[in-house]
Amino acid sequence: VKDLAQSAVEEARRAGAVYADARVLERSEERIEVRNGRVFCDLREERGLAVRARVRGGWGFAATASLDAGDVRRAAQEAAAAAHAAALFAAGAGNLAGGPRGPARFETRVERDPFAVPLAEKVALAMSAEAAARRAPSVRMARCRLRFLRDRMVIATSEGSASERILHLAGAGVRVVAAADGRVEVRTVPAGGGGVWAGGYEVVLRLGLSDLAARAGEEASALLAAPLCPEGVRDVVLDPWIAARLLHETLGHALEADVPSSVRGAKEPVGSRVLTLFQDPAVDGAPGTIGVDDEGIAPQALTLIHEGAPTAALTDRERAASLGVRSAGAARAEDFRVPPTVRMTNLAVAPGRGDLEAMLADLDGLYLAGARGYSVDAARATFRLSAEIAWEVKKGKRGRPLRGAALCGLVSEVWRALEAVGGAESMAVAGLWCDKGSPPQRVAVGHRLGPVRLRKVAVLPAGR
Amino acid sequence: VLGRDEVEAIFKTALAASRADDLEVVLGGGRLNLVRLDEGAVRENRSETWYELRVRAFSRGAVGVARTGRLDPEGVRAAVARALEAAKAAPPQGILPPPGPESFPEPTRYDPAVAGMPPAARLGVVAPLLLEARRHGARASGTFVARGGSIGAGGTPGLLAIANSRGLFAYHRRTRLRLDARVLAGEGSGWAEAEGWLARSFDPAPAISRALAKALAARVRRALPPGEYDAVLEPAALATFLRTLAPHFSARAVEEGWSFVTGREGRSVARGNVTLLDDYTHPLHDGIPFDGEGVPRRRLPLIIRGIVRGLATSREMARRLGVPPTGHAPLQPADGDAIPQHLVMLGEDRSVEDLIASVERGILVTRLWRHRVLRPERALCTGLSRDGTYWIEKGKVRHALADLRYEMSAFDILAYATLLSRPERALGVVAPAVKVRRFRIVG
Repeated sequence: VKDLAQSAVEEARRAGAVYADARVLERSEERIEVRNGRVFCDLREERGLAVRARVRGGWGFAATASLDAGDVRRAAQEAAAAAHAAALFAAGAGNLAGGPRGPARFETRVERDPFAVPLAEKVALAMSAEAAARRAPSVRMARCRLRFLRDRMVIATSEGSASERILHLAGAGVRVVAAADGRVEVRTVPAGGGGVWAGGYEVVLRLGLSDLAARAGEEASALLAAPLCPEGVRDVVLDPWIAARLLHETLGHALEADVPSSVRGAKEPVGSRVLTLFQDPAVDGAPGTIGVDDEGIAPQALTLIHEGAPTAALTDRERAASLGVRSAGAARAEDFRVPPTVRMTNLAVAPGRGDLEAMLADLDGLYLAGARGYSVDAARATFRLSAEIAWEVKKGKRGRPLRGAALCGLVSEVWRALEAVGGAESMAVAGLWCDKGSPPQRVAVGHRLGPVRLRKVAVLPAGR
Repeated sequence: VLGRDEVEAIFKTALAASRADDLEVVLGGGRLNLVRLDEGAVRENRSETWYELRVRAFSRGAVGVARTGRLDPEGVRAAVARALEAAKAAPPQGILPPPGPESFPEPTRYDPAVAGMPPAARLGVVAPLLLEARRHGARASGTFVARGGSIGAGGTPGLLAIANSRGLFAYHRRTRLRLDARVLAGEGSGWAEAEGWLARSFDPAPAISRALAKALAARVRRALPPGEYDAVLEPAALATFLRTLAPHFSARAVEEGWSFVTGREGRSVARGNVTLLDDYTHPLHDGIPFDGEGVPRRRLPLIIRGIVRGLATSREMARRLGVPPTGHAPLQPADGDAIPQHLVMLGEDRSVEDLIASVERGILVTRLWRHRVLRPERALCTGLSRDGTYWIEKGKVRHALADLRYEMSAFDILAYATLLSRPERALGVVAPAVKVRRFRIVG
């Protein structure tokens, strides 16, 4: 496989590419879904090769599912020809930035290979979680999904680097829809689209999926009778998963160097002094722990925000060159079909103190969970994030649930309202599927953080 | 892109290898060529060539799916065996066996020059956009896609052909061209799209001019306070709302109780001037004549003169309801059941300019993005206007506005639609521009 990648690189060079790289990808995937009692398993295998070529700043790319030598040669030649054509309108003819080369081999640590677990066992797990979600009254739809991925990628570049990367991802999620009297409420756990982690079957077993599902069903059902969240300026505590979504959308994407943003290079702080944020390439169990990115660079440990002030950006080799820095190792592609773009790997928030109960202890406000719709404007200046559920908290006591709560405001202000971050003992690894770009590419991004407390933020009811 | 005979040979190998009660095989894929522009430069010039064979095995009333990118006999047989293994892992569930044979019209919209469009020719299509924008001190953005076969936007394989062990065989090869032209100028931006299927007759020039004119008119933008305004939504803006409505017309969503249509069948949900259909045969659509179960697509009325008149049904839902399936099922099994996929909203004999001329004070919206559903039961949505939002006063466009955040139910759009224009195809929907009252802008 490595020889195949190298031969593609050489062929692209012969066809005039100044720089070329090639990735060969083999992917196995299992999806198990139970929806309202219906079970199905979807088993998938794919492989393919991608060649990327650069000529005077122009990028060309060709991908093929055929690993036949002739098809690989043609793809390499086409990538070079595409780069020549693109060079006429290239963004810049600069060199690519360097970065630490990826290791010769990286593999996710797995305790129990999910592909070796009998299908029937995985089906039984999903069935019991789905049944637990359906027990609550008024639940009209419950769905449990499990997903396991094994991704073997070999990359070779014309600069002589070569790496093999084997990633194992495990995902799980439950979605519940309750409906009565023309009202509809949704709960997703641990997140919309499911959570995703690096690891094997053990990851899913540790979740306690049936308990999560049962609670989701009860909450969705209880929300049908819950009052609408009143409008106001409130102190709020966010559960780590909705906090991860807010962080991801407001700051994570804004730190990606290919996204227009007022966060990078901002003169004013973008968060309070409590906020320090890293790209952490080695978070155990996080799906952005990839060892080597899709340009052959090892993702770097970087301080992205230090005590509220932005300090670095997420970059690939091209964007790093234009910023005059080394690549952050944040070039990622969904699969062999598409070229890499700048993506988050893992975002890690520096821990504060205390667990959730400690954060709620002196709160008069709301505790929010379950990210629903997130919407941000083109300049990523204003946002709106709806929560599936909010609990009233009075003097530290969690009270009745409220429906329809949405955080809204300015991206530049919401993190300045950050008052506290949960301590190390409250940290969760929240792995989310993220779509970016047009056409969109989906990759799994890791977030490590605890619950967060925001002081005096605007909360609006969605759908008065 | 694989021809009918090649596909048939692959399917034969699969069906011959089957030990299942029944077998369904679906092939998707082909070749996609794409140029992506950003800030006046070419960021990507690329192609992808691949197929996915999807095998659905039926065993004891359960199903299992296996997918593979390998189309050689060994790869195909392995997928067939794995699909049966997947089916056997599920308990018996009374799932319907696949349907029998049907005949379908021959595909006519296939141009090998689109599927095989070489790298330099792709640049030839976008060069006028880049150069025109530059000439006006603006920057071009957007994408150009030339595709042969069924590869979808997010790398989904789509549906090129389907067959099953009960004698069904359906194959539909086509090509599509689409330029999504976005121009950035000063504070503002403009957008338009061009579509086609035949390389030699594809003409992106009108879309380029339109995107550029919109951007140049939006170089300086003013803010607008929150409130309810009269608004003219161009077809692309309305299309985004209509797409949000589609899942509400799924019979299963209605049965499960989370659709707005639940309890409103045969009742009014829109003004009397609103008629919404699903029609893959509309000349502006180029739909394929069968769905993901191999069922012939039918024209389906959804709303006739404001009244709910139809729902999309899969074979399974149709059996439960005792009606014929409408031919709107996605590839099975899928999370979503049958939903309308070729929306057509009828219009009236007016131009967009006529609609603008009727507005005393209001806004003109080119298109929307970051569109999200806040409350599913009313299809209450939020999002932002984009690529050309303007202030209208006394029937004339006066100046550009900064992007606006709206919060609006998609059904309210139809309830407040006072005037419609002639429809066109935008973002995959045939829709008119619409004048709506009480379009709600929030902070």
